Amino acid sequence: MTSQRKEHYGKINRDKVLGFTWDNKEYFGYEGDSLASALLANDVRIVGRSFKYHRPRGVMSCGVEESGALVTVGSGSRRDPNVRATTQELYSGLNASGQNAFPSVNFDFGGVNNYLSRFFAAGFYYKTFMGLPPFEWGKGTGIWMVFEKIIRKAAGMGKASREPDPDSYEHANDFCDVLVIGSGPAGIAAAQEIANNKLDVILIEQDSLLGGNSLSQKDFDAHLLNDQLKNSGIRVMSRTTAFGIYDNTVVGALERVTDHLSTPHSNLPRQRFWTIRAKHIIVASGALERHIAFNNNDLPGAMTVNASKHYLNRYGVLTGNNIVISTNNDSVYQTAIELHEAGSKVTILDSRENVNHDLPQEIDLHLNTLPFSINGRKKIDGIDVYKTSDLSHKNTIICDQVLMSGGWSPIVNLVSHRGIKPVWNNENQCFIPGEIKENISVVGSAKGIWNEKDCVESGFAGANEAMNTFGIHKKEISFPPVGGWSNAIEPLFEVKSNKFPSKSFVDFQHDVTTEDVRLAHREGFVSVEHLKRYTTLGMANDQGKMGNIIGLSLMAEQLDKTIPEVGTTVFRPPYTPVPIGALTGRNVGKHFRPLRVTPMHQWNIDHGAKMIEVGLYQRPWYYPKKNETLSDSYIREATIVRKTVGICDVTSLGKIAIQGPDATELVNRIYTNPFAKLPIGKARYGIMLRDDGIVMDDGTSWRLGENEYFMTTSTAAAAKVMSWLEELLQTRWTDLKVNVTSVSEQWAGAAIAGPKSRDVLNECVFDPTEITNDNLPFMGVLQTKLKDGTPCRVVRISFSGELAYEMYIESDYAHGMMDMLWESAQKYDGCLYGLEALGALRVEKGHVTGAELDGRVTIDDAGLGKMASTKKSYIGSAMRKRGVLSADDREVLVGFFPINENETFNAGTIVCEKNNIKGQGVGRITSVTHSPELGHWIGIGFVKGGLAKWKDITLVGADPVRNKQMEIKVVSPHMIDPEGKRMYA
Amino acid sequence: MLNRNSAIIEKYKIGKYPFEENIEIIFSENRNLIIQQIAAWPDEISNLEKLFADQLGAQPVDFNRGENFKNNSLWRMEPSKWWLLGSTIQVPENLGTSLELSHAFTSITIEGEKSDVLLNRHLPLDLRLDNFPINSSASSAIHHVSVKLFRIYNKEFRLLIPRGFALSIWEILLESASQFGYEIKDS
Repeated sequence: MTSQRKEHYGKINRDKVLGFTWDNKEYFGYEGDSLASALLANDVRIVGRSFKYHRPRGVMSCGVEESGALVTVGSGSRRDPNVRATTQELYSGLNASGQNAFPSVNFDFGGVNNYLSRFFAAGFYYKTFMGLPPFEWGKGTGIWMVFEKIIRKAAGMGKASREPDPDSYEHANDFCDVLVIGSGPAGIAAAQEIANNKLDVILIEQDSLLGGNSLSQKDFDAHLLNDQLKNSGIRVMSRTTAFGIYDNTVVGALERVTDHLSTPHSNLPRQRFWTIRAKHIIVASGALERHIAFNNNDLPGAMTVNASKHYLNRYGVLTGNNIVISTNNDSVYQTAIELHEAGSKVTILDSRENVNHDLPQEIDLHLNTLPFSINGRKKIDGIDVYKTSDLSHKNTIICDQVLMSGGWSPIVNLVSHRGIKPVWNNENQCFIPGEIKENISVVGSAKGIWNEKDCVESGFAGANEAMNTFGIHKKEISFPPVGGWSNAIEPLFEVKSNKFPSKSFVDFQHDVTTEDVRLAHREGFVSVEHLKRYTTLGMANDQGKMGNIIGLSLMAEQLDKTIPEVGTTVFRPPYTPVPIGALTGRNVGKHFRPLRVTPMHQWNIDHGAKMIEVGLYQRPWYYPKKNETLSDSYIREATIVRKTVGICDVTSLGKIAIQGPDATELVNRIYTNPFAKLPIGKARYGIMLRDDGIVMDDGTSWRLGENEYFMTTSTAAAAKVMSWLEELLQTRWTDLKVNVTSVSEQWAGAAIAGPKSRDVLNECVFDPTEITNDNLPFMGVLQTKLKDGTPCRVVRISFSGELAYEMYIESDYAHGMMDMLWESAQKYDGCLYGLEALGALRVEKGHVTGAELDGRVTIDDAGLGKMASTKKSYIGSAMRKRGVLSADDREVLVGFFPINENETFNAGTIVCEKNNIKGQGVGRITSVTHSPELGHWIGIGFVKGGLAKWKDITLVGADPVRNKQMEIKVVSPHMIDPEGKRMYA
Repeated sequence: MLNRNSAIIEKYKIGKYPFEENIEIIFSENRNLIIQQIAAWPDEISNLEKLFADQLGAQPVDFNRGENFKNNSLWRMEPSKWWLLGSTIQVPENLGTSLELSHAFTSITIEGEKSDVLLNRHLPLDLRLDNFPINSSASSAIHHVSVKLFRIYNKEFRLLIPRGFALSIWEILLESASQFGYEIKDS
């Protein structure tokens, strides 16, 4: 092949020269070039190496179906492998290189595989499972352990960057009345017809220019068309591929926003992942030209015929000087004429007996002629051909390029996504879309219509079909018939000779040959789905766009069936690859998940908090003083709380407003303990169960008024409890007059804990004598004001076991509340404390959290059985009495001490009997801490039979993950102030 | 009384951030938000509508629609739930419940030529004017966070984000808006 740029051809901008590098060598192209066209214009023949055999490959097509010119673009963190050079727009500074080759695609040591191809036939790696014959026959797969490493190393095409992707991506949504996919003649006709009827139309085109196959016409003006469409009010989305059609006429599309730019603006996303919801979809996705399987049909210079026409008329590149066209259909003749007019010597091999085309006499037409073998190694030197009537005598034609057209395959992929089976059209030797019962119309060559005039007609018909569904009119719809060539196509999928071995490729990228298909059949893979997986036919970058039909025809021949009897594989999204970055959109880095912060977030940070993620929340973990470690800090904080006072942000607790005349009834039904007689101004700790009797969550509910409660839940279960209440009211208790609303964001909360907490509060509230034991007893609720008049709520409640309160204020005032509390606390040498100290304090006190209430624990297991009323019915009250939930050997909440007080243990440690350290043991430790009060490590958790069974017995804490064991003893979970004197003080 | 503190104050940098000299989005936070949630008992909806007519001069509106008045607006967020923005009224207990939600949300006005386009970068809502006319409201989600959206004018929306998520969503909105050019106005 000797390709060259031609004057006066193409739609490129010759005024704008673009420099680029290919395999570290500098070249030039023009604005409007693709990487493939620029390489062809520079007569770069070898641009890739095949997957298995490392055979040299050139540019084989002009679009997304490309299997040869798969290259790596960019470097460093922006290195993208497997980019189709045919769809990569050229830009100044583009840096591309060959892949799957060492040292280069021009000379590749891996090419030795081509000579070992008999060992790399279809499914060769599966055969290594069977062991090394004859030594491992019947013994298993010892040799696989060797092969696996080699095969894994060899697998894959190109290398992705290991660095983080520096680009941004985004998701986007759009809506329209009609979405037209494809801007060929049919798509354009449909879009314009619909726009003329004042409907909202989006036209999607994967290419940078509009026009589809019209771009291969010399005088076609894509920019003029673009202007016309926009003036018609059509919303045009170019560089956008519709990669899938989903339920309810939803289309997934990928827009390449900056892939064509040298220096994209950092404000722009690289790609955009669109979800487009249309009322009707018109698929005008076109058709793809097929190659023909014969020996060496993959040599650089082999290409589809229509691609050559595109390169000539769109890019001004003549792809060969001496071109042989091999075909079985009429579509090539106009191309032959245009290539001849551009200066090439053209020879046509047509497998048919007769055709009626007027050709210039300089074009040699050989009827009844088949291609047998392309001659050459890295370039084409000639082609051996047969007469169909005499397969024993071959002739050789000298040429530098072989173009192939074995027929056309309508792109049925998108409608296939909707489960619509394609139907075989024998007359045109292709699959066409089956009957569609959704609001989807297929038009143009995607429907198997070849003639341009008919394609336009089909576009109008599709538009009218859409408008019929909208009720705009009721027109008789008549699509032009499938086909449109004046001479019938004849089947031509493979040319084989029994005399000579051949490498006739079906799937170029994966090196699947015709012999591989036959081998698969011989080995029993007779289902098309099995064939696909065994040979990997159709599993390469092009997903079978080129080779599937040939593979089916070969299988049909082997099975002595017709192609429709063999069937076709189901095409699934995406039509072309969608990068992971585009799927992820902006949900990366710190926005991987939504971040939730409390109203005191910045205040906490400003006061030295180290933060930790708890679910989605950012919470203060600890407040280190200079040089303090986490341990130093939380031990200090917990010690100060027990000694004087500490302040902690507890905003993350769930908060629910329960309002209405039946509010009490609702609360009473969901908690295990009675709430019916809770006085106004009092709060109560409650446990709620699931229907199956297992604990769902714990929390408090405060009675603010006759018909109003303020419920708090654990941080982790806030959303779950809210949903649960909504579900109960909407499905089971629709008669209750109650409204529940999450007010988690409305209120900010702080815990004030420690012997001096009352003093701190009194300094902050409006009346400095208001907070007394009488006025605010344990579990009392006060709606009051801060000293500056800002309303707040105070509840006397303790998670630490100390005299303690929680103060809630409307969120926007949280900073001010914290300023006041902290100013006061400092006077008592108080501290701010974080989640770690909070955990230490509650473990000392034996209070449970989500670590203990893990969805397996009953109220009795948690040692809270006394809270389960026997006088009322509540959610879970029946099921909690199941035998399995009240067995004697259930694991019950206890505390744990190390026998050696210098030892520590971790949450997750398995509790075992001393002489039986195995399996799940007799219990587990769920939460641990150093106890500042006791001066050694402590934990809480569960053990079968509880404290009564294991008191004074030494057990073993087994931690096989950390390879650790220690002796432990079981104690009461209430390790501090079990009588509660401090919190009642 | 303490001063109210915005949830996005740390990242609310007043100024112009053009893209290729264009500014197509204007953000402003609606500080000192007042939201009263009023939920009617199912058999009292018509009486509650009468109350709205008497106290606000409001006409009955469909679900997901609202009405703007001089200093406040009334939005029917759910079939039996309204939000009154900008002021509060007394609601008799026999008609339904009233709940203060003024601090639960951060309210951002998004206006400008590309305001709907920006919102559709995140919201799967059909914001074409015919489908989401002025005085429409919707509940949807940005980055898995439940949000409320009101259309005030053709190219002006109000987005209400739960306060705790507001900073995170605000950052994402600014990131997306940078491709259009934006301005952050004093609230």
